[in-house]
Amino acid sequence: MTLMFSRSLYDPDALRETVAAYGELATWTITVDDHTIAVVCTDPSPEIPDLTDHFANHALHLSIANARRSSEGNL
Amino acid sequence: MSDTTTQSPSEMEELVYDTDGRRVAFTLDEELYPREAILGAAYLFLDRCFVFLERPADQKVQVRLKTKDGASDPDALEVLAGEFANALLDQVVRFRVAESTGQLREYAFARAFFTTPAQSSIDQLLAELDDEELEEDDLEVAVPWEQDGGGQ
Amino acid sequence: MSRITTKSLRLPKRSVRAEHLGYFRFGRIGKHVVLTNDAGEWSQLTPGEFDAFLMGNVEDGHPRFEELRERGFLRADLDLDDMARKIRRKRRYLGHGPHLAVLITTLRCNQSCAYCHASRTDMHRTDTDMSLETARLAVDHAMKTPSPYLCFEYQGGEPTVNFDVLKFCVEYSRERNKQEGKTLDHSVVTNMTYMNQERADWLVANKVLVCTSLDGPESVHNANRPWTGKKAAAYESVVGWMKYFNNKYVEQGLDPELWHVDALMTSTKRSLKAGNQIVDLYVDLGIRNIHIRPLNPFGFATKTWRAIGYSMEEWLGYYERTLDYIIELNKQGVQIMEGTAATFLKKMLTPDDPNFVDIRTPVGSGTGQICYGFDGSIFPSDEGRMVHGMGDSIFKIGDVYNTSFEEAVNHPTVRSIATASYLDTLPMCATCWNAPYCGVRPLHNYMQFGDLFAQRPLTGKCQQHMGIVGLLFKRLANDPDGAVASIFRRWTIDRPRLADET
Repeated sequence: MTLMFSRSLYDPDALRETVAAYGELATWTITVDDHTIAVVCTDPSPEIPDLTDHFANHALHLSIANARRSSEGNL
Repeated sequence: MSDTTTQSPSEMEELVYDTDGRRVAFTLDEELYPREAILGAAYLFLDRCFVFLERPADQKVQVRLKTKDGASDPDALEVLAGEFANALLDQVVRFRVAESTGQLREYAFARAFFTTPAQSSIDQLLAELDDEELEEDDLEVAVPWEQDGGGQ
Repeated sequence: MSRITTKSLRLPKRSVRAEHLGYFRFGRIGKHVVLTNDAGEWSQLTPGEFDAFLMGNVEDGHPRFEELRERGFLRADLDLDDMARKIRRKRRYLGHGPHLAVLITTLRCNQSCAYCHASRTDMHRTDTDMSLETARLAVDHAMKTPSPYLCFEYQGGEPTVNFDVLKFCVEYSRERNKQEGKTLDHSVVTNMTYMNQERADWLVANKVLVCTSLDGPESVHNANRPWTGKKAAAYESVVGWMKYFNNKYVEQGLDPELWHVDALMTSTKRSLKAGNQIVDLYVDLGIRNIHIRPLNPFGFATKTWRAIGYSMEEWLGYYERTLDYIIELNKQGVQIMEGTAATFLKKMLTPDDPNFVDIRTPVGSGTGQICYGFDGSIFPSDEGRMVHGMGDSIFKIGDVYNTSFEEAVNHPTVRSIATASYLDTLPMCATCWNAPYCGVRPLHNYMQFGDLFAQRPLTGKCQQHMGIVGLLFKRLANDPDGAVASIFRRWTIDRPRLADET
């Protein structure tokens, strides 16, 4: 399964951190281009339903946290 | 002072969303809903929903909320959509206020924590702010769809 | 796959005239909108008043104008220098350094509590006692804090099991303080099961504050806190010793309002049905302050959690019922307060902050407190020591033999914890109405989620703090005769205890 994240909304570093955090639950491959971060998930753990959804939530959490720290935005 | 605000039909706007079995999706225009406000609102739903953001076009953000418990109750999804709309509108207010008061806060914190007074005087700062076009701010920020409490 | 349906919400519009407003955060609590700001000021508005406020229509002559102007919510006459003074006063703790030094005199303990995270060892494990030499170095280390006030808190295990070291720390720090000139307090957190008359009398004579655990009536306390090798005796012991200490303080002519055994309670599933009984017991024992605390939801086997645990919603329901009972008792003249509510009320109703290390920004770990393990290891807080006890040394920031005080408090781990608990940088917290009063616990997040930051909406502490402060705002909003406000203000009054004079 491939997840496509827009770079204008998600932070590549946040995706890399999420891949590291979820490393034991599946095999993740990440590719970053100018506009998109593509994450391929293979061999997901059958014990975690909705694994890629949990992954996306964590990635959003870290992306927003990183954005706040770097820009002092108002999220 | 009345506790309710009466609005004429011309002062209403529509917020469209799509729904299927487990999902609610809003496609939002960043002109009306700044990206920071969209992200801020999305963050508040991480406990209840799986949240995924997409960019279908320039200046557009799609927010997809998927229930975590697998529930596909249409009424519950409608409530979820309303709650997200409320949270979004509150975040827009927060964004506008933070944008307008950022310099004031910076000044207050600089005065509070640094022994050397901030470079610009308070009079200068307030004069600069007075020069803003005070009456020109026609930001039409929608108010909550249903004001029913519940914290942030 | 279900069919996609398009629907719409009709939303009324309004203008926000931000140029008329000061900085504020807001949230909808019950029937009101609560405004708060960086100085800790707050106001509760009706939704209609809030709309008028946002639209810049709260002007001279409006019934809420003076209140909102004085509290800095309006741009009109906004006194930023006054705001700066208030902010500085609220965060005065930032320049002080650690004022709480936790010393783990031993890991040995003779209770095996269902919810214990304190990495206890059995009574024969004398190898987990702190040595006198380590104790001396730990006291030297702690006393380098720039804080003019320092409290040594003795914990374990059961700290009185290694009583000689406890005595040494009290006496040695007092001797050292003849040069340092700080205000010192000493406090021992004990389950009373190792107490005897000699130790008790020494603690009273040396004005070491005593804090114990009392989870409720006998059935609740004994079920939560089984005493190794004995049956159903823990409650009898703790209550007996509380009475002994309290009588001794009176005999010595000490003011019982200030000198009495403090007690902490931890709520298990059993407690949730016994809130009023627990409060009655505390009142009967002359305790003026009850801390109704939830369990920390980590480190349990699933079976144990099923037996003693509950959801945060269940706990908040119990908290609300019990708080209302405490308020009712206060209305009848009984003096008892709820400790967590009192901490928040001091932030809400006074110009100061109580500097409670667990509820401030940044959190006190390493900047407001420091913890010394039995072997001289240094941690930013006792929680860091617990994580170390579970085999993960991520929060160890040095040891008393090789690490200077400056190195410890400037350790990258301390900086990371401060960053992870500075509310202005955290999504959700930065804009939360409760930010002026709240604090997050990165070490809790780490224990629960493996991440210092954690997804804020998932953390129980967030729900707990918003639930408690929201409840306080609701009670203040529904207080036609001012009785609740009067009770709450009384809970904010701290009379200074005569601390260590030497």
